[in-house]
Parts: sequence; structure tokens; C-alpha cells
Amino acid sequence: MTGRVALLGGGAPLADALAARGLDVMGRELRVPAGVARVLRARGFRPELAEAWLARRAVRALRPDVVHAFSAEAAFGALRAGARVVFSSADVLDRGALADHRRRLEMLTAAVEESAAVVVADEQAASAMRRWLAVEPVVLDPADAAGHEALYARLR
Amino acid sequence: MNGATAISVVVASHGRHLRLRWLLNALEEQTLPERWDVVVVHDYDEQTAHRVIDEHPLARAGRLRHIAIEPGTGSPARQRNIGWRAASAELIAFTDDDCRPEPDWLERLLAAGRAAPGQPVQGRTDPEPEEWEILRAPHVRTLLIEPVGPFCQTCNMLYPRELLEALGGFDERAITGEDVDLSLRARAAGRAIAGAPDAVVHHAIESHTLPGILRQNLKWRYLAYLVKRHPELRRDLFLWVFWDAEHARSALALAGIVAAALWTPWALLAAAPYVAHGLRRRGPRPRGVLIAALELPGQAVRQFAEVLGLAYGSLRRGTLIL
Repeated sequence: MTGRVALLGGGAPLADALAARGLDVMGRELRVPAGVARVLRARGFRPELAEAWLARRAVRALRPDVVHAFSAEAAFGALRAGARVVFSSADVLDRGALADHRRRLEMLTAAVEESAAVVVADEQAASAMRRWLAVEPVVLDPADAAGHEALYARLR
Repeated sequence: MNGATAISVVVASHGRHLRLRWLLNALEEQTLPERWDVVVVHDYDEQTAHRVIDEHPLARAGRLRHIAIEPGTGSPARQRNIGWRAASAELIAFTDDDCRPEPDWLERLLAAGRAAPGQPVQGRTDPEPEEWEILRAPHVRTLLIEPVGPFCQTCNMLYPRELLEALGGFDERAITGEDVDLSLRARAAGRAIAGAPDAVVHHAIESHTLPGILRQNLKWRYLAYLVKRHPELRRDLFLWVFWDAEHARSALALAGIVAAALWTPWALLAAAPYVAHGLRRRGPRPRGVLIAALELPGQAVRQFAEVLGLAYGSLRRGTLIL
């Protein structure tokens, strides 16, 4: 049993595939308004920073058993709302993306060190994650619904 | 890579385990063909140390050792002393856990050290180019050092081991400025500092909240100890008393505010240089002036706190630095 799973800030195809397998899945896009994004960028933040607040709000509204967050900021917000989090990093990390904006390092550190599992799509992303963040991620194809279901069930 | 270790890198680390990992990655990319090694002295828990240090390729290659100290017992001076005493080479390179050396850093530093035998060598430090966006924050901390500078911060310094031994290493009573103190004692011992502008490390740019930067700058009050011990440092102060021109303007503004509260509102004019300068810190364009104006109160709180902290330290040590 995986319980209720909320996919925050991405993973729409995965949500459909999981729903087709009979899971109780809730997908929620975390859309940052353009004006907010502009202000955040002008002050040295990533626009995605607002996803932390949006994710926190979504977790409080949806009350899922597991949150699958698709950005470090969404993972941070969900963690601060008390959720059990799986963090998926879509990018192959490099030094330039680790602390390039205000609060980026704080978000990333929390996402990889406090999440119950960190997921990457392939071995190249896993290798970058080991090198820069010293964590051992789970390698899972983003389309592998069965693999994700098993992961959520393990975490519950 | 045969023969004795040509150079040992010593790093004191606290509260920055991921940045330490990035430093180790940068050290892994060093081009120096001779034997070299790294000693990290830290206060991380066993699990973090294992994940960040033991599992690093440099450790697996036998080039990286680490020494864990009890949390809460460390200081930059103590940790660096433990590090250089445990190191194996005759030349000791110091850098910090919030720095990223260029791949040829050790090669250049070693060449400069050999060209100036017996002398300390200072490399160049600049703000991390990957983190420039963070300069938009109101309260940031980074370093830009063109060698040879007056303070010889250990983010990019090389010392011969025999000199460290002769000087007794870093002064562990110094809460801050222990690196400045060491370089001043080296100079007093007749060892001029050599410059290696092509040995480059990039220093992290960190943004802080106002309470965070105030907490961090509390250590400024210990600078009076350094000035008391090395009066020659006053040559590098603004008007022999102020840490920099900004502190002079802050002190004047602070005095004006106090005088206005006690005597006449006209005393507020003393804050005019501070305000005029503060409004230009984001450039002359209207948008920059607007942002600077919005940031001015926070900047003032920070700078007034720095000046008051220095005044407190001056009172305790019986020497004036603001």
C-alpha cells in the first residue's frame, strides 16, 4: 500500500501512469506568477524559490502520505510542512548550479539530506549527485511507474 | 609522483560540509605532477565525515586525511595548528572550506614558494564567479584579495613548515584575525610575504539575513586584540583608527544621531556622508538608488553594530579601533 501520493511541480506523465496502476495520486503544478518570478530574479533568487511556499501550501491542503517533489524548492517546502518526501532531480548537477542564487544551497542541502529518498533518471545524474552532494540516489526511469510505486510503498 | 610530499594542503572546516566537498573536488582536479596531500581538521559527526570525506576519491587514493575534533572545541587557529602539525610536507598551503582553487593553484603556489625560499606566499582570491548573482543580496560576505595584501588571510597562503614551527603556529587566543597575526609575526621575523597572483582561489559569496550577519560580525570585537598586539596594523586602517572608510562614515552618522537626540536636530547632518554614500552603493541609476534606499536601514543597523562591537572591544583592550 502506498497511500496518497502528491506529485508536486512536475511528473505529470508519471502521475497518469501511477493512476492507471490504481494509486491514489494527486498532481499539483507549482506555477510561480510571472511578476513574483521577476522580483525574485531581480533580488538574486531563483524564481523556483516561490515553489517552497506553494509546496508547503499544497501539502497542507492535500495531506498526502508521500510527497514526490520535482524541485529542491518544492522538496524544501514539503519537508517544512512535515511531509515524507521523495526528491527527484531532473538535472545533471554541476558546480555552477549548486549555490548560484540566494538560498539555493540551503534548499538543495535540505532536499537531499532530509528527504526520505533522492531519485535521479540515470547513472550520469547519479554520479553528479554523488560527486557534488555526497548522497547515494536511487536511479529510476521517470516513466517507471512500478519502480516508483515500490519506492513509495517502502517509504510509507 | 615519486619522492617526498612537495606540499600539504591544510583546511579547517566547520559548518560547511558540502562546500568542503566542493573544495575537495577542486583539489582532485589539481594539475601538480609532484606528490601532495590534504589534511582536513573538522568537527563533523562520524556519518557526515564518512559521507563527505572518507568516500571522496582523494581519500580512496590515499591523499586525504581528516582529523575530527570535538564539536564546540574548534577555532580556525586551533584547527589549522592541528592540521599543519599533522601534515607531512615542508611547504604548507592553507585554504578554506568555502573556497575553490583553480586547477593550477598548487602548481603556481609551489613554484612561487620555491622561487622565494623561506618566505610565506600569498595567492590571489576573488569572489566565486559561479555565485555572482548572490551579490544582489543586501548582506553578503566574500573576499577579493590582490597579493600582497596587508592581512594575508589563510584562504590562499603558503607557509614553510620551519617558519610555522619557529613562530609557534597560529595564536589560539585570537578569536579572529589569527591569520593576520601570523603574517605580521612572520614579517617581524624578517620574512617578507611573496605574491603569487596567478595562484587563484575563488571565495564563496554567501548572503545572510540581517540577524545572521549581525551574529557573524560579533567577532569583530576581537580585532582590538590584534591591533593592540600589532600597532603597525594601524598603517592599513583608515585614518589609523577606522577599519575602513565605511566605518568612519558610520561612526560619524552614529555620533550625529546621538547628538541629535541629546542636543540639536542639526547634528543629523553628520549622517549626510553616510546616507549619500549608501544611496550610491547599487550604482547611479534610479533603480539602483531606489534599491539602495530600501536597503539603507538594514545596512545602517549592520554597520552601526560593527562599529559598536569594535568600540566595545577597544574599551576592553584599551586601544581604539572602530
